[in-house]
Amino acid sequence: MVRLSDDLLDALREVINIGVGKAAGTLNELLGHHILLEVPQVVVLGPDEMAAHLCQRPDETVSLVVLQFSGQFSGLSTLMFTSDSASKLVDLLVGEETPVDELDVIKTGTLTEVGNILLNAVMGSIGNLLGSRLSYTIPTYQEGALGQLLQPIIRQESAALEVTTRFTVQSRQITGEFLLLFEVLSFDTFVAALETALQG
Amino acid sequence: MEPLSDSLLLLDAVPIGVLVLSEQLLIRCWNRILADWTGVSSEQAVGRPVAELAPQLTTPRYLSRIRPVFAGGPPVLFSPQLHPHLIPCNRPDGAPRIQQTTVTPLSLDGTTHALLAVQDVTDLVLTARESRQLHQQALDEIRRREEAEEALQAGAQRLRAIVENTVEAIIVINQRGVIEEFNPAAERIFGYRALEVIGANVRMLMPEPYRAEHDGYLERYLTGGASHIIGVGREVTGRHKDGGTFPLHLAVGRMALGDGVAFVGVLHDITDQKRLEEHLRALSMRDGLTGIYNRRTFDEALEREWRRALRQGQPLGLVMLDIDFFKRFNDSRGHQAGDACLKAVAQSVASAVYRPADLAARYGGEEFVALLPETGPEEAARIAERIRQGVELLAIPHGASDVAPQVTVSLGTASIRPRADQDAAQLVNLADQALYGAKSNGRNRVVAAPAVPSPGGAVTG
Repeated sequence: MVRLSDDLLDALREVINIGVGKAAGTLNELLGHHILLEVPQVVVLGPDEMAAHLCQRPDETVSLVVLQFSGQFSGLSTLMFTSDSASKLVDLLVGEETPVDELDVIKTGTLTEVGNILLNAVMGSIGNLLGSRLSYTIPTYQEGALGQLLQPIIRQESAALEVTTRFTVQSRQITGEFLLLFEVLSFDTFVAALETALQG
Repeated sequence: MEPLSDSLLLLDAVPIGVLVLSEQLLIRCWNRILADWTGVSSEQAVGRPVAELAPQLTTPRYLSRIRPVFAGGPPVLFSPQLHPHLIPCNRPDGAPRIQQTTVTPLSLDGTTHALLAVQDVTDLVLTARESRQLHQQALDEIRRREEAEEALQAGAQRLRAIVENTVEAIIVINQRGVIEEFNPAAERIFGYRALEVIGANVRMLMPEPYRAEHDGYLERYLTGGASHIIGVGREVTGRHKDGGTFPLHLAVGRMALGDGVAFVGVLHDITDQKRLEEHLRALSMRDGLTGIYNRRTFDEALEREWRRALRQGQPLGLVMLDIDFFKRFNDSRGHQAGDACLKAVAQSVASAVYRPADLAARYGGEEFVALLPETGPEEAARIAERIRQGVELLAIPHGASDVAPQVTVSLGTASIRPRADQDAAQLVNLADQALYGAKSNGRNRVVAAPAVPSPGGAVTG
């Protein structure tokens, strides 16, 4: 697997930061509250690291929005909220207390849309930077134990870009974790495209 | 197989609203479903700016999200929860359709268009909303119950604290008389630890003969429902662990407990109270100044002894006496000396009558009486003489008496063997007349009443 140089990582971090910033602006309008955004952390994970990293809390219940992409490079883009963060978001958006354990249409619809906004912003920024035309599926929503949801995905993928972003709305802290999972060889293509784009 | 050419026909067949927009935001396709929903036909819609039919879509808020689609960006979702009415249209019943809209890129004539797929999810959303409300109601109900439960527990704890700390002894027994509860105050007054008595029959806290009676009380209460003790307090006798007995005040309440009943006894040790009562009773029988019995006690004793004498056919004797020239004594020597004199004479009278049944009392100001059961006229006169000598021997200087230098008394005596047609007042009258005789015959002497003639002429005594 190709390693990302520090320079590339910095550039990637900046691109993602711009994307997340856009998403925050959109969410801002949706929520009607000002959103405070922290600079996202970007980490590259190899297959072993992914497994080790994600299996630290396999039983945690999470909400997962998944967007598949394919083209020059292929993989999955996922956004994950802890059930606590998911509930806070839905509360803010729908204005009702949402039972933490409940998976219902309202929560699904709302969280899928929030995931859609954030994922589109990040993927859009990367796509723009690389000038790559990718095709996407419609995003899907899943909820369950972290291990159960991610385990089957991770096995098939080669590398991941983990982006952790924290935002605070009305003094509530909400944490979302992006995971860009690349298919075998796709990560190398991605890095090559990144190098080309930044040098050009 | 030939690819389908007439894509519009296809779009008209799908059961969702389909809207295709060019990058200039002109309507390129408006399918049958949308025409049905909005009442605007495909012919009317195609070619017009979308702002005329769905103005919301062209506001910056939506446009900023839709724009990237024209550049081939990822699909955009508008959830029914946050954007329910993107395309203004109502259901046949007039309610606005709740919509879920997905925007995906669509290549058409070599340029990228935006395809909006609009699903009517009104039923789904309303059902979800309803179930959410039901769910919330259920949660509220649970919370209310939990709160009530907590309040109950707090109440129970408080009750427990009250039971543990009250000065009243509290004992709970079941319908078989078995002790179930025994609080610290009960431990104190009975001397038992709770562990020693819980499970035992409450009889152990009672001395004989109450012990044997208790089961009967319970039985009667449980079968007949009547009780002399439920609800009202009364005095009972308790038995201490050391075997001693003590007076208790006991009030019993009944409480339904599951399918049985339990009895809650609230008790306090009234030893001190009884002692005080006894003391007060003794005080009320005595004359405040002289300490010997008072007039009321004498009157009661007279009636009692009269009836006894009548029953037993025994004579009842009475001595009445009066201090000679007491008013003069008071005037010349002062009231304090007068009081001291009264006390001394009272003691003298009391010490002259020493049989248990005899009773010496202050009858009035300087008048005293001695009630002498089973005493005939001679014996009564003898006792009177003893009193007279006793007072004389006190040698209290008088200084204003016509008869002696010291304080003296005049005494009248009487004795009657009571009959049913007489009453106790007659005895008092006789003694009083005799006292009058003693005073008019020079004082400092004893005069015995003449014998009372019986109806049949017989002489009593």
